[in-house]
Amino acid sequence: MARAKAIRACVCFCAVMMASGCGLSPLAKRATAYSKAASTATLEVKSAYQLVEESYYDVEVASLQKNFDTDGFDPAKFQPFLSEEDMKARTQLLEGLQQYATLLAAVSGNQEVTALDKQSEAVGKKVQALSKDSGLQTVAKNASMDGGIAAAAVDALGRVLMQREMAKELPSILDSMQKPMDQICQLLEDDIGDPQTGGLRNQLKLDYDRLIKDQTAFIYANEKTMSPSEKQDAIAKLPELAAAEKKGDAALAQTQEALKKLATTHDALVDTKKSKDAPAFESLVSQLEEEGQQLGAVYSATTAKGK
Amino acid sequence: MATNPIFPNTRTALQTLENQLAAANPVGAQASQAVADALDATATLLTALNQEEAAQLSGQMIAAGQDVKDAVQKLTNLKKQLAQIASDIGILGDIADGLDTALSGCKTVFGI
Repeated sequence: MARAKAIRACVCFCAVMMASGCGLSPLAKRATAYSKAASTATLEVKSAYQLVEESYYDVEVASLQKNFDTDGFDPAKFQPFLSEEDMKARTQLLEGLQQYATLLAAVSGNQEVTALDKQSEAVGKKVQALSKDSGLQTVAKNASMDGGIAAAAVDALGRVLMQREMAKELPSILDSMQKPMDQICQLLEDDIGDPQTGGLRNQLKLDYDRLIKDQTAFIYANEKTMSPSEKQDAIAKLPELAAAEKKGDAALAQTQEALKKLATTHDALVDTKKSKDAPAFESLVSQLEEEGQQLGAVYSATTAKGK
Repeated sequence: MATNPIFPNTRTALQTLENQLAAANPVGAQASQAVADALDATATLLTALNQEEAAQLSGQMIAAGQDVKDAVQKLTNLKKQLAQIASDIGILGDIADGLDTALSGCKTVFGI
């Protein structure tokens, strides 16, 4: 629902901006293009979390099947990988980025943005609360960013969304968000992590490794009572699981690339504040848009949302 | 927790063990069950570390649950069996030493 609303809001603003494009400054046109591409890419980042929640759920089901005879079914043991609180922090961060993209499109026009201001203010408040209450200061996953920097970046995003008087000042908005954008994207990239050192990619590997070894043990434990075709089907699941792991990890790696591009394209947008033409930015923004669309297709094929 | 070297060292030891078990190719009911159980336990501990790191993003910390205590106990119980079948299932290197490092780290990290 919120997702559909966000897409509608951004598409609506971008459509209006593009339709009236001839009256816009070159920077405003670029900001509108960035807004559209960033909005698509940001929406897909949430699917990375969904992908890992699904593999984690599969492990919980496999564990229930394995231990049912001795442990029975305890619904309390079925918990998501990320707690509600942890997922909320990420959702708010992504909503903040999404709202920032929408705000850029709105600010690029010469229209009243009062309705959007209210929406931005609400999201901005949530984002600012996240930076103050969450203990982001303790995050030290990446040696290049301590918790204080992460909190300051999130706080800056919240402030930009809340400051109505800045609504007509596109260059200063872009300036104030350059570093925070880089840092928030880095924070989310770190959260997706690496198959060997932690984060979502590591969790996906753990889940599939367990599913594969559990399936192998199941086949050996029950082969004497299986019919030949049942055994064939059970064995055929092994390469399917291995392929799903590979596909899922590739999707997560691509999401990290999209986040990287989200930051570098924003940097390029800031760098072109005084330029009439910006071919390097145009190229980056079209890559970002393509990346977002590809991610949408990949996650539709690998997560339940597309099934 | 993240600044204490025992945290990354324990993660590395557990991940090395997880990689060894994931790459193992057990044949037969007994060996495959031992590998699956050991991998379940190792992955449970690594999952707890992942959740603890994820909780830092939203300021929540998690205490060692019963599943973590059970996983440490399960790995301790499987140590001898895994060491005996290691070469048969394609695990290279000394799995017992790796297990000891991972287990002692887990006891410190999770306060067991």
